[in-house]
This record gives sequence, structure tokens and C-alpha cells, in this order.
Amino acid sequence: MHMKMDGSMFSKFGVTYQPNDIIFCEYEPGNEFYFLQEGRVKVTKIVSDMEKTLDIFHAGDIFGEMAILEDQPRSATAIAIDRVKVLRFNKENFNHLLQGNPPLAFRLLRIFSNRIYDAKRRLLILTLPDIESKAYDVFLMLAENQNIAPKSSDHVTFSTNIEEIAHWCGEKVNRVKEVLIRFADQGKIQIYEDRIIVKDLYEMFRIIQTKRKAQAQD
Amino acid sequence: MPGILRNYKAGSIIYFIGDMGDEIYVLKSGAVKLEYHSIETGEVTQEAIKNGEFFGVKSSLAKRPREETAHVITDSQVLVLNAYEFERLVTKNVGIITQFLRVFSNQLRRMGKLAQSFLNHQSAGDNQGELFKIGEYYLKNHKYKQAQYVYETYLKHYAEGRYAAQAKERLASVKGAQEGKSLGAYSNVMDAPSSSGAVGGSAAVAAAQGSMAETAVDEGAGGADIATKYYDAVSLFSQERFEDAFRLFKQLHDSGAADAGARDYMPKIEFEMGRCLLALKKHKEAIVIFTTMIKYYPKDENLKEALFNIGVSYKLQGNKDKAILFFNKVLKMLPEGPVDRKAKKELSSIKG
Repeated sequence: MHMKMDGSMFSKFGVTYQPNDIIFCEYEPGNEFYFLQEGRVKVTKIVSDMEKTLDIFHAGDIFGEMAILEDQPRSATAIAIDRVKVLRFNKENFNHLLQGNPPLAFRLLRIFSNRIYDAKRRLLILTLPDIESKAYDVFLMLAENQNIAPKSSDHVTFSTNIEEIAHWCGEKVNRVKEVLIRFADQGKIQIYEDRIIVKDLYEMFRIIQTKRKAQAQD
Repeated sequence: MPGILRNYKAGSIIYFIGDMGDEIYVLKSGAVKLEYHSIETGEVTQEAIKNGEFFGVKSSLAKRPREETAHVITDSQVLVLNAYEFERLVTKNVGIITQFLRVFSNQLRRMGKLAQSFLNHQSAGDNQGELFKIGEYYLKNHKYKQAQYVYETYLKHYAEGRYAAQAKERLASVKGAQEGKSLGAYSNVMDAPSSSGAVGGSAAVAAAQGSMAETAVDEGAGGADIATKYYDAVSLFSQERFEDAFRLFKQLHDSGAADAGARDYMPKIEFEMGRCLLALKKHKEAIVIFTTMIKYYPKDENLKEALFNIGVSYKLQGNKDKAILFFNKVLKMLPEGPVDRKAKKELSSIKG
């Protein structure tokens, strides 16, 4: 989709960044979102004392859009890779942007639709009663994100780590670590620095299904 | 109007929960109900579709399974659009999109709140501390430009925050390090550690490359850069690894006597050692080191903080009188700062 902004739009909302400039950083409060016009932006997160790149955005992409919804701080850092031009919007001038730009509005609608599904999926994890099942369900969610069916009893490798699993479980890292180490002792998973291998995803799938059925009957 | 009109008999189903499909529907006449499991209550919930209302939008746009089953209650006529026709229709009428965006964002917000309610057993996230730690990460890795951004952002939002003093300090040295670099190397080679000859030679870079634990054990080989080690130690402190931090500060302190470059850092190092001891609940030792620092560096910028920390140490030892004495000392000393408020609070809690 080609979306060239006219000059007045840029003079009003445009911001330019140099390579390596931070646009916003993880945990920073902020309620603006960005429409990338030129250059590339990488999204990173510091996990286990390592900066990990989660995504790279190109011209035409939107990022930071969750900020207009919630008063939560940023969940990742956005850094300019090249010389970058963005249009920066907030709740107040948001409508102005959408009125003049239906394709962008539609794209946002699609992003929000996906976000709702993601948020629901995450909630499903949180509603489970114990850390063991939450951890199982995190693996199932990660598998879904990669389009891996839980039917296969092959080993499945996830490029994730304990902190990330704990994040999705909504539990303290130490407690999740205990559980995962127990899983590893039982031979259910293998934990490496940058990845976790699940031996039998189908078994996890069955256990979670049973749990959910039990919950529905409560 | 694009799309096709379809007639449904009462009792039929337009789609089932879990189905895949990109069709989007508009109810023209009749009655349709959506049935789904409410994630909030866990119960089966029904929602009546009004005439003229869209349904099936989210699953179509996200290309995900339907979230509800669409039951036809009385004979109905429905306009059916595919995803492309829907896009064409609404991009001609942005009002529809903004309405959907409003509905969707409300849903997202509600789910965000719900998620929070499941998380409330966790200590509420320490955004302030986490933000500061991001700065520490960049500093440690010699990404000064990024570190500078983070510390500035920290101070913008938490001017009187817990780490404000440290953030200011870091900011000053980050700027120093950047200027020291000069030689035009700065503009876009921030990531290349070899260009960071500024702070203290190649040994500094080597120390920074190693993991922090290694650095802590490593007996500063010759010219190991004091600034780097100092920040490593501070960073350990911010990770609440107080013993490791103390060990590294102490090592710096012990080697510092012989090192002219370290002299500027001495009051800071002693101050930080005191903070470590306080965090480790070694109150007596904390008082000793803060007292030493005050004696030798009576003009240091952390003086009031040191006095305050002595007060806290006495309080935690149960020595109220001494604690009151020191908190009052803080209040008498100029210039006023955020620490005054903390001292007042302590005083009123002791007296109350």
C-alpha cells in the first residue's frame, strides 16, 4: 500500500531520527503512535541482559499503536536503523489522521482485530489455576503463533527463555523457573540459554483441554 | 452496495464458533443472536444483533477462527460481504472504521484490565526501576547515545524518582564519554566498542565485554577502567545483587588509593558501599562508612543523602534518638532537595 503524505502532514506531525536514535524505550510512559514514512525501525527488548530484536518495521508500517489505548508504559524499545522519518500521533490528533487516510484507518482496524485475539489468548493462560498448567499453555500459545499443531509428538523448539515464559504466565520468574526446572528433570522439556525444546506438545495440549473442561463445569 | 443477499431460516446457523471464514455480515431483517463463552464470567452469553449491524468482522480481518456461533432466531435476510468488499465499503466511509476502532479499543482496554486483575498477586511492576535498568544496560555496553536517551527520559518522568540522583550522575558521565570520543567517530559507530577509547583505554572495553560476574571476580588487571567497573557495580546494585555490588565497590575502593584516576570516584564509591550495607541490613557497618565519607568529603553532592542514610540505619537499629538527630541534620542543611521530604516523612513516622 502506497501512502505518501503531503508536505503539510509532515510539517505538522513529522519527526526525523538519525541512525541508532531511540524513538521510545521499554518502560517509558507515552501515548503516541508512529506511522513510519522512511527508513527502518527495529523493536528490541532487553531479556536476560541481552538486547533482543523482536521485529523490524519498514515504510508504511505503524508502531507503538497500543499506547493510544492504555496508560501502560512501552513494552519494547524502538530504535531507528537508518535515517528515519515518522509521523507521530496521539489520541487528540488521531481522528484527524484517520479522516484523511482511510487505508491507514483500515490497517489499524486489522491490527486491533489481531490484538484482541492475542489478548484473549493471553487471558486464557492467566485464567488457569496453577503455574504448571499456565506454563503448558504458554507453550501451546507459542506453538499456535508458529502454526504448529499440537498433534505432533515431535520435539518442538521455541526460541524463548524462562523470563519470557514467566511474563506470559504472569508469575514471578523464580517460581516459573522452579516449575520449568522440574519439567526438565522429568524429561518434558530441555532448557537452553536461547531456546526451550518441548518433547511432547500433544500431552500438554490434552492436559490443558481437560483443565479447561473442568473449569467450564465449575 | 456490493455483496450478496442471503436468506436464512429460523433455527439455522450462519457460522459456528471455531469456523474459519472471511465473510462479513450485515443483518438486513429478522433476528440473529451471537452466542459465546464470556471470558470475563466464563458463562455462555448471548448478544442480539440489531438491524443494520455488522457481525463476523474481527475474525475475518484477523483471519482467525470465529469467536461465537451466529444463530438465526427468526427468518432473516443478511448481506454477505467478503473481506475485500468490506474493505472497499468502509474505506469509502471512514466513520464506520472509527466506530469499529472505538468498539475494538474498548474491548482491548477491558481485556487489559482483566489481565491486570489476574496479575495483582504480583508486586505492581516497578516501571521506574525497570526504565533505569535499561539505561544501565546501554551504559554498560558503551551505547552512550541510547543510555543518554534513557536517563533523560527517566529524569523527564521521574524528576524526583529513586534513581534520579544516579541518573543525573550517569548522564553527566555519558555526555563526557561522548565528547571525549570526538574524532568524528561518534555519529554512527555507537555499536562498535573499539571506538570507545575515551574512558580509559582498551582494558576498559575488555572488562565491559565480560559478563558482570566475571568482572566482579576479576582482580582489576592493571589499568582496568574504574568508570566501567563503577557502573557495573551500580548496575549490580540496581539488580538488587547487593553482595556482588558491595564486593565490586570494595575492590574498587581498595585499589583506588593507589590510582589517581580513582580519586574522584572515592566519595561515590564509599557512598554506594554504604547503600549496599544498608540494603544488606548491616546497619552498623553502613553507619561507619557513611561517617567516613562525610568526614573526608564534607562537600560531596551526596552528603545529605549520606546523613539521611545514617538516620535510616539508626532507625532500623532501633536507636530513635540518633535517627531523629540525623534526620534533623538533613533538614538543616542547604540546599533543599528531594531528600528533605524523605527526612520529614521519617521524622513524622518516628514521632507519630
